Amino acid sequence: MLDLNLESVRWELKKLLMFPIPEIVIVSMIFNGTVVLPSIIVLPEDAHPYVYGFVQNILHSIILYTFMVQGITMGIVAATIFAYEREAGILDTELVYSRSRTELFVGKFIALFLAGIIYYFTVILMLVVYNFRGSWIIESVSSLFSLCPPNAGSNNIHHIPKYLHFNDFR
Amino acid sequence: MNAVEAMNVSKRFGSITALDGVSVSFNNGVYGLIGPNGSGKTTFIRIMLGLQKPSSGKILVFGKDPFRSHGQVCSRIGYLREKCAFPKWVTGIEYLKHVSRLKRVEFDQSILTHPIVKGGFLTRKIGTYSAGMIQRLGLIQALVGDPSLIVLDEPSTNLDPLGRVEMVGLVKEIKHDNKTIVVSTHILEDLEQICDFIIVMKGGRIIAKDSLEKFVAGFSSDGTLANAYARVMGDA
Ligand SMILES: Nc1ncnc2c1ncn2[C@@H]1O[C@H](COP(=O)(O)OP(=O)(O)OP(=O)(O)O)[C@@H](O)[C@H]1O
Ligand SMILES: [Mg+2]
Repeated sequence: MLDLNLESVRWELKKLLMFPIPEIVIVSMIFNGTVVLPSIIVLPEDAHPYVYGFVQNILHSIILYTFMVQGITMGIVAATIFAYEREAGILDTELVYSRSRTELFVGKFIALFLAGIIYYFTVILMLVVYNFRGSWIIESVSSLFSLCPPNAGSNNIHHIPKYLHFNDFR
Repeated sequence: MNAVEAMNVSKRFGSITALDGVSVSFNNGVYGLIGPNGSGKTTFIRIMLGLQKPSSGKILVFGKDPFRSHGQVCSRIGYLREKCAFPKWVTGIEYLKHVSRLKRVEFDQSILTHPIVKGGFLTRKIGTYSAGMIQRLGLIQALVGDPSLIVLDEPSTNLDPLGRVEMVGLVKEIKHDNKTIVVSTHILEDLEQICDFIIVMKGGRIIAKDSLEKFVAGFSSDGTLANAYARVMGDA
């Protein structure tokens, strides 16, 4: 049975969360996920008008596109680290420390997976906060008490930054 | 049981024959592996550690195939790689602690005060080390977990004159009855002081193997290992 050493997961995770990897991954996810990909990928026209803005801006632009970008970026980052360690001979020394080759590589893979989850939720959180700048929650709560009718004041769709507006790209 | 038992081991890289039918066994003691550049010393060491697979022949380390039973074999080995490198983003101490945890042994504080790593550089990030400091860290990491087989590939590289003396001291210190130490080096003066057996390689073959005294007595005209080595190389 695989007797995973948590130390190797901890070590790899630390490496993946260290300068400059978060910067590269997060910037790439936000820029490519919200600006580049939404401008080149076209959604079907028949989305329900009520959820149109929400689906396009949140579910699609952010969740789907950043996810796609993340897969590619993290793949490149992991391959680069691996290639460097192999070339420098760090991997050889690491192999001699480890209980088994499988254990070492499974540890690396689990760390990559965990780092992926951390980056993904960081970016989603950043984009959600940026899109609504908090007003979404306030408006939703206040509209419940009719203090601020949704149509009279600001419609939350206007709060979404211009470049995130999907229709602009068509 | 011999710690290492190689039977007719060969290794080819395409058209290059790096090892050509090497048969040797290592037991307790210090073995000096010498030979010209490209004679196959590092290749043999890598096969011994299961980092490479022999093209033909068989090798057993602690009675097991090091490539197949990689983990079981390596948990008893300490290894200093030639041109050793370590992650630059941690301090030496953090790295040594990491190594102990990977090897699942208690971290031994006493190695931090060993003469080979004196000067307090272990508290700095490895990225700031000089070449000799990296080599010193490489030597000390090979001792973590008190391994029974220690393999040092070019341990004198980049060390200052005193560092070489300290390296020799370190090998003398760890050389207990139940340890096998394999040292591959070109610095024969260092080897003379530490090793019990000499193995001379050339062109992927072992051309001489004997105890140090017998080797020197048999080939040297002035009683030095360097002289004996020159003679063997000339004859071969
Ligand atoms: N990965 C490889 N691919 C191709 N050839 C290799 C490879 N590794 C080693 N060799 C060749 O195998 C031979 C033995 O190399 P090895 O590194 O074992 O020599 P060495 O005795 O350690 O030399 P040195 O004293 O310079 O360290 C050399 O001819 C080398 O070019
Ligand atoms: Mg070599």
